[in-house]
Amino acid sequence: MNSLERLIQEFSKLPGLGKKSASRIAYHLLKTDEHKVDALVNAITTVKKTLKECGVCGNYADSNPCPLCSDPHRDNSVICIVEEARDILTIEATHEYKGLYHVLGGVLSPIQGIGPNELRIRELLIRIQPPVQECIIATNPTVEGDTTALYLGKIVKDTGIVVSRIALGLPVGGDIEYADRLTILQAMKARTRL
Amino acid sequence: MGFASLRFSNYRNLENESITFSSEQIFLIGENGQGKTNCIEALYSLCYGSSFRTHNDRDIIKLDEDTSYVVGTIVDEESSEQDICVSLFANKKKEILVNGKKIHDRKDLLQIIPCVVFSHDDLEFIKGTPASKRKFFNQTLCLYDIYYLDALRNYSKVVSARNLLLKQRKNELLDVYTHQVAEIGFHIQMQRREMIEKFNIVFRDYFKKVSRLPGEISIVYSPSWKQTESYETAMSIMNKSINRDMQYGTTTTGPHRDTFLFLYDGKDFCSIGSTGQLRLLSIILRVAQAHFFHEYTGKKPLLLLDDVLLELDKKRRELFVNNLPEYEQAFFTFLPDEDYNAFKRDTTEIFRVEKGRFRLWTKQDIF
Repeated sequence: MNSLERLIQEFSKLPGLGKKSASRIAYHLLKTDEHKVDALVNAITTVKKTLKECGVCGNYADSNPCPLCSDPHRDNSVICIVEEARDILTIEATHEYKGLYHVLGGVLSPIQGIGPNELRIRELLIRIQPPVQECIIATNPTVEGDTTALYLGKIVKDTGIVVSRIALGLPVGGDIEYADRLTILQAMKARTRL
Repeated sequence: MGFASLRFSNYRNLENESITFSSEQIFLIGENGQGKTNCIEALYSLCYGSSFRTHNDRDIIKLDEDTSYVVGTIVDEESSEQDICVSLFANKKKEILVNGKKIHDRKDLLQIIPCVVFSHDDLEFIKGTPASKRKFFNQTLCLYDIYYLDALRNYSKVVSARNLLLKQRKNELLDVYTHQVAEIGFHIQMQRREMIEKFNIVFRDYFKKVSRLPGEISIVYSPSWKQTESYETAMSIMNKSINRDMQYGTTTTGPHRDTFLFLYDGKDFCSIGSTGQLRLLSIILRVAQAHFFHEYTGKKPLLLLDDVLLELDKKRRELFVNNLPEYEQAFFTFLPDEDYNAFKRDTTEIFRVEKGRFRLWTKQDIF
């Protein structure tokens, strides 16, 4: 295997990239100026070296605890529980939520050997104490995400804290006409009183 | 219209060539082993992404070859074309492409050209295991409501996870999975119950028309959870059987244990019907499936009829053909000595199948 084939093979291991996309990127890099390639390599190695998992919430950051956990202006009475660190980025982009986060690092899946001990649930239970008053469960609306939400709901409720699940249903700006039956069913179930 | 062309490559005994169709009714005539059923199988795989004869792709790929494919071009009423390609590989998973784009969920394929196949194995739906019966009614429901497939997939996931927890005696998560099995299972049960009510109307009607038997037939849905009004009742049934579940290391109740009975004047048809009558019932079941699909979706299915008429007597053949549901396109297979001319229309295209090759018959060939 030559160096180009090896590069293509490495790229195709990345999520979302097939063999074709991998070779397209590899050939693109061959044509790219060396300093631009260096900048890319540098960015990859730097992120891997400097970013650490936050000991409190599980987010990736340059510091530990992360800027979100150590920000005194954030509402420390609410914790939003997400599956992966990248979900924080999505929610933060809205600038609407001002509370704290907790990254589970996956969802329950006994078939794949992922039980409560494989997720950051013990760390969550340690955090659930005053001033925390509410936990918002924001796992994905998949069967695994729902099962994880059910389990978390059960164990967090035992601590006397309010537990909520983010609303599931129609996307804002979407059209009912194009929504599938399950989404409409869910939206009907989670309807709100005006 | 349906399929306008098919192209094969290393597909069972079929020659690597193309066939074009310009009719809504196609007859494939040939001796046994010439490739009629292989063509039906290829058409089915373009509709469902899988075969109805084997789970092993290697069986389909021609001997000494590593890959095989079938490409079908579908034309709709507005003459818009869609290409579907199913490629099979000896050493990796199959690939399905629609208009050159790979699809990752077979669900996307099912909606393009809904298809009902009549085959010998259909008898299993009548006298086979409860799993075979569920397979038929699951397929009927999926054709009519594609999201039912999601519920089935999710149900299968949570039952497998719960079974693993029961085997490993990990009780911590058992409650949560019991809840999930009850909730998704209850939804499946409701859909089956609702479907069987509607299906019975269509089924009884066609049984009367085609079977010429005097009695009343009905399909009775026999769910594993009896008298469930809500998922809470399903949950309480599950909680009652928790000790048994733990003992056996498996979920002993739920829709995966449902069955269906065919009652003729209140008696089990499987015990009183002759082999011929059971076979007839299996054919009526398929006709009802196609009718049911047409009636409740307004769409016409593609029909694949593999040697079906061979098993019926003359009168029933006539009744069967006259009572076929509306279809987008139908492919029939016949042996050369069968009286297929009695069923053909003016527009029917007849292909002679010999050693894996297809030759369109002209009027001169026929007369």
